[in-house]
Parts: sequence; structure tokens; C-alpha cells
Amino acid sequence: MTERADLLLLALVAIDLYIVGTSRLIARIRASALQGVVLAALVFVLRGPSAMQSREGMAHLAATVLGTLLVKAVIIPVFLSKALRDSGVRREVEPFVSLHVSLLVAGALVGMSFWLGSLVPLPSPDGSPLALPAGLSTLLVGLYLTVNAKKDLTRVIGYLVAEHGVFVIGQVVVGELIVVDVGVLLDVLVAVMLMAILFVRVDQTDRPTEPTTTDPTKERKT
Amino acid sequence: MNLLWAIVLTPLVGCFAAGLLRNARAILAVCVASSVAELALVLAALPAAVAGRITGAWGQLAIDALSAYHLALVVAIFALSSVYAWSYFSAEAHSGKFDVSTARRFGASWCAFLGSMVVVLVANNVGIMWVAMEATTLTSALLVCLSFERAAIRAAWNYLMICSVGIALGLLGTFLLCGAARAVEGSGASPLLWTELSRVAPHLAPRPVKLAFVFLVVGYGTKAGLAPMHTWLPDAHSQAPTPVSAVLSGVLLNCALYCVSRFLPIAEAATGHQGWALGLMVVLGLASIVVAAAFIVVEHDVKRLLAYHSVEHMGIIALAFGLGGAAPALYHTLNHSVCKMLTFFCAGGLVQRYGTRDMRLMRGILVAVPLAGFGIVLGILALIGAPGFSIFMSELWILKVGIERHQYAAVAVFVLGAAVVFVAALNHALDMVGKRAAQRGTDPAAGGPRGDELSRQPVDEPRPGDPSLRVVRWPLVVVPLVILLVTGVWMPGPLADILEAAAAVVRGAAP
Repeated sequence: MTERADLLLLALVAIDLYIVGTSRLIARIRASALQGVVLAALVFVLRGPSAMQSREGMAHLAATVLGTLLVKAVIIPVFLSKALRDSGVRREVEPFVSLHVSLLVAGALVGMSFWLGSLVPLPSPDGSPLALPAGLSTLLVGLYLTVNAKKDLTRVIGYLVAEHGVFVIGQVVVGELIVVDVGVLLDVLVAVMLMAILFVRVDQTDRPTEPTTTDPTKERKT
Repeated sequence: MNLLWAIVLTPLVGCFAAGLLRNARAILAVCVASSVAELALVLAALPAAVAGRITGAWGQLAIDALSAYHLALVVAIFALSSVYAWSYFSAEAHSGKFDVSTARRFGASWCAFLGSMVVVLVANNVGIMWVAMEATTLTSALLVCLSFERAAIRAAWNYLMICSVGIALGLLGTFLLCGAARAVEGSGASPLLWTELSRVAPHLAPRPVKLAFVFLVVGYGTKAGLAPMHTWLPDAHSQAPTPVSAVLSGVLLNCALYCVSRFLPIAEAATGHQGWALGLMVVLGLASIVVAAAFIVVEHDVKRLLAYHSVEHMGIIALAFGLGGAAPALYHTLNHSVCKMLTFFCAGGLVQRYGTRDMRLMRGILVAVPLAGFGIVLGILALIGAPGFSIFMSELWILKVGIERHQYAAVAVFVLGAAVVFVAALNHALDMVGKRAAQRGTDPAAGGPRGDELSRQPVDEPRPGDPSLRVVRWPLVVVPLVILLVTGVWMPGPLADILEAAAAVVRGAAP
């Protein structure tokens, strides 16, 4: 089981680097959706064997996997893409630090996480030794994205990526009470939605010359 | 225990009721009713919780002395703030700013906010505690941007972003701590339960626990407004409608520090009671005091001034926890909450009267708005630790603890910061009292407000308001003042008992 989990964790880190390196916002949103799929698969691989033994465990597993897929790979990306369309922001990301340097920084963050992860061995019976480094990498890269963004939507993506990192560690270490799993998912969902709504509102109020039209298509042409 | 379920579900009922009603006055009444009902339920549960632990929901929920103390404080402040909100928004409704859809958004978020804070306090499962803490951010962000004005949306955005990212770190800390607990032999039940965590705490591996505690303090400390993670706080507190500012400052910050104080005994036990976790609290507390003192000197916005006072007092409470004085820390929490509620209520009155938050435009407040004027002057006096008020007593107690523990450097920084705040805030307060209103035209060259700020400061006449509002407003100012003055000279026996019982939980000495 751990080989498959390791592959998924490596895929997660690879997507982190892709998100940092790409220059288009929509690509970043799609990559974060892909991370959602990877996370759902990870939950299945990690907890599947033990969960299959009881009816209750199966229900819990199904709820977590489907909930993760639905929230992280469908609802949030769709919502963010819509926010991107509704707002008049340019489609390219506008970082403070250039993408090339950012990639170097992200590489350094990943390296640091692997070093930190080896420093604090997380005892988990069924987990892979890569879980803590991969989770920390994702978290740090997400934090870096939130800091290194002039435009607010990139910050939301950064928050999302950071939360994916925490999610990985949570799934490996704890992940046993359905209320907590579902609660965390719901919190993140509502947080991202609120952020996107406020983002669109801020963006609209930032353009005082615009008449108060509710039709976003008109604004997009500007 | 059915009482526990009732405490959790009452705000939820209020939330749905407020969301369904179509009358602004009825919605405000629902807010008052549900928070008063909540207060009654909590007071009913209080004696049993202080004497021992009440558990329910298969061990996931529990009230012990520490949570009961905070619960009583939160719900009491919330009930008074609901009454204030009723009076405040009734005045706004006259000017048409508070229509039905705003009222529904307010009512639903207000009750949901209360509900999420209550769940933070009654959760025995630290995962549920985290979920509820993030829910407080979401619901209160909605309250901050109630007006949908540009600055308010900006403030809500910053608040949401900084606190969500911060609190995500808290979740990581929670997971790391539970991972460490899982490794302990014989940890049978769920490692997410706080009771379980504190049981195995002495056997935890120190290194993962240290890492976890750093994340927990940074995460929940962001929400508590500890410097240097406090940057969201002044914006959110000043842009929110005043009743919301009162609860943000009066109780939400307490809830975040409550979470930290839950993990404090666990981290201390795991690191062998060497004061590692306490030292971290001292550093953050002192940083908050110093940063707040620097900003209080130059701040002119009355609500931002109060917000920086919150940063300062959260720092003092964190410092007190760090010095090992859990009882004075909790006592200071009570005093700060009551005082902050009082000062925000009065600041709201001033802002509604003058139509601005700039203190340089408020002159002769004792004559122009006697009730709010006297209230805010006395409130600021209490807030900065003038003798005679209870905040002075709790600060003195904290100093005493610090000197007993030989933490002279920390005590010196604390006294210095408090002295700066004392002088600066007193200066602001005296300025507002002095100079009659006729001199309101301030000279921009002398550091006064700019022309464009002045141009949109038409001071409308005091609203006629109905007499019923006046009946409500007097007690809202007088009751907190009496509490501050009475507990400044005499501590009631039951309060001392519950303080001691709650402090024992933080010290890790509770059964």
C-alpha cells in the first residue's frame, strides 16, 4: 500500500511545483482541482484496507472520499473559475517575485520540508514516511503563494494549497471521526466561497467609474 | 446530558428563525431572545460544571470549570450586546441603512456566530474545536462586511484570509499533537479527545509536541490578535458595526486564547514542566503589549484605538499565562471583556452622534453626549488600568505573580508598555472631553484631518429616537461600570471559587 501512497504524495508535490511555475490563473485553479483528486485517491489508498472491514468504516470512507472529490475537485474549482470570469482581473498571475525565482524558492521549501520531516518522525502505523514532508511542502508552498501575489485570487489558491498540505497530514495521522473530516471540508468550502465572493465585490468596488451593472459580461470586455 | 445539547442547539434555532423572518424588529428580537435563553441554559449548567465535568455526545462534548467560566462570560456579553444591537440598529433603521435583507443577514450570522463560539467552548474533541473556531471566522466575517461598503469588504477580506491561513496552521498543530499521542502505548480512545490528550501528556515525545505547540500558538494566536499576527484586527474591529466590534473584541479573542490555554498544560507536561511553552507565551504577550503601545500613541480612530487596546490586553493575558498565573489571566479576561463591551457601546453612541470615528472631531463629549461621553471616559480610564477599577487589580495581581517568579525583565517591559498606553490613551480621552464643539474645524496643517475627510463629516443632529431606546441604553452603560467598580474593590466568593477551579485546569492540576 505504501508504494501507491508514496506515488500519490510525490504527485502532490509535483503539482505544487507546477502551480508555482505556471503563469496562468486558470491553470492554477485546474491544478488545485487535480490535487483534490490526488487527495481523494490518497484517502482511499491509506484508509481503504482498514475501513473495508466494517460497515461503519465503509460509510465513513465513502463520505470522506466523495466529499473530498466533490468539494476540492468540483465545487471549489468551478466557483473559483466563475469568480475569475466575473471579475475583471487579468488572466496572468502577478507575483512580486518572478516565476523563475519562485520555482527556486519552492524547491528550497520542499527540500526544507523533507529535512524537517526527517527531524520529527511522525509515528503513524499505516502512514508512509513521505507523508509529513509532502504535507509540509504543500503547506509551505501554499503559504508562499498567498504571500507572493498581488492579486487576491492567487491568494485564495494559495490558501487552498496550504490547506491541502494540512489535509494530507491529517489523513495520515488522525482521520477517524467523521464529524471532524466533514466539518473541516465544509469550513474550507465556505471559506473559499466567501473569499471568492468578497474578491469579486472588492474588484467591482475598485472600479468606481463602472455603472452598477449586474451583468459581468459587459465588464469583461474592458 | 440534555442540557449540553440544548446549549449547542439554541443558537442554531435562533439562526434559522432569524433567517426566515421578514421583519427587522422581529429579527433583532430573535437575536436578543436566543442569546438570553442561552444565558439561562449556561447558568443552569454552571454549578455542576464547576464541581465536576459534564460530558455528553459520546464524550465529544464536555464542560469543565475552564470552559464553564468562558462560556458564562461569552454568553453574558453576547446577551448584553444583543440588547445593544437592538438599540443600535433601531437607530440605523430610522436612516434606512438597516433594511430587512441586511437584518436577516445580521440575525442569521449573529446567532450562528454565538453558536460556533459555544461549540468551541464545549468541544472536548480538539478537531471539533478547530472546526468551530474556523466557523467563528466565517460567521463573523459576514458580520464585519454587513454594510458592504468598500472599506468594510476590504477589512472582511483581510480578516478572512489572515485568520483562515493562520488557523490552518492551528489544524496542523492539532494533527501533529494527535499523531504524537497515537504513538504512546495504551492510548486507547480517540487521540483527538482533550481528556485523552491530557491523560497521556506526560508520556508524549517532546519534540513533536514542541513543533505542534508552535503551530497551535501561531494558529490560534492569529485569531486571538497576538502580535505579530494581529494585523487583521484593527481593520476588522473598526469597520464592523459597533455591536459586532463589541463581541469580536469582548469574547471572540477570549475564545481563541481559551484554545491556546487548553493546549498549554499538555505542552508543559510533555516537555517536562521546564517552562518551554510558558516562555513562548511570555514572548508573544510582551510583543503584543509593545506593538499595541506604539500604535495607541498615534491612533486617532476611536474604534481602532479600542482595537489596539484589545491587542494590548490579549498580550497581557498571554503574558499572565506565561508567567504561570492562570487565575489572574482568567480574571483579567473577565475584566477586559466587560470593559471592552462598555467602551465599544459608548464609542458606538459617539460615532452615531458625530458621524465620524475620528477622535479629533469629537470635542466636548461630556456635554454633547453625556451618557456615552462619561461612559467612554470612565471606560478608557478602566482600560488603561486606573486604580479603583478591576483591571487595575488584575494587572497588579499579574505583576505580583511575575515578581514572585523572578521574571523581572518581562515585568519591566510590561510596566513600561502599560505606562505608555496609560499616558497616550489618557491624552486621547482628555482631548475628547476638552474644547467645546465650536472648535471642531481642525487645522489640517496642525496634523488635523484632511479636507476630504472633513467634507464628508456632516454631523447630523442627535436622532430623535424613541424613549424606549434611552431606557435600554442607560443600563448598558451603568451595568458594566458597576461590575468594573465593584470587582475592583471586592471579589465575590463564587467568582473566586470558579477562577480557582478554572485556573487548576490550565495548570494541569485538575483531576
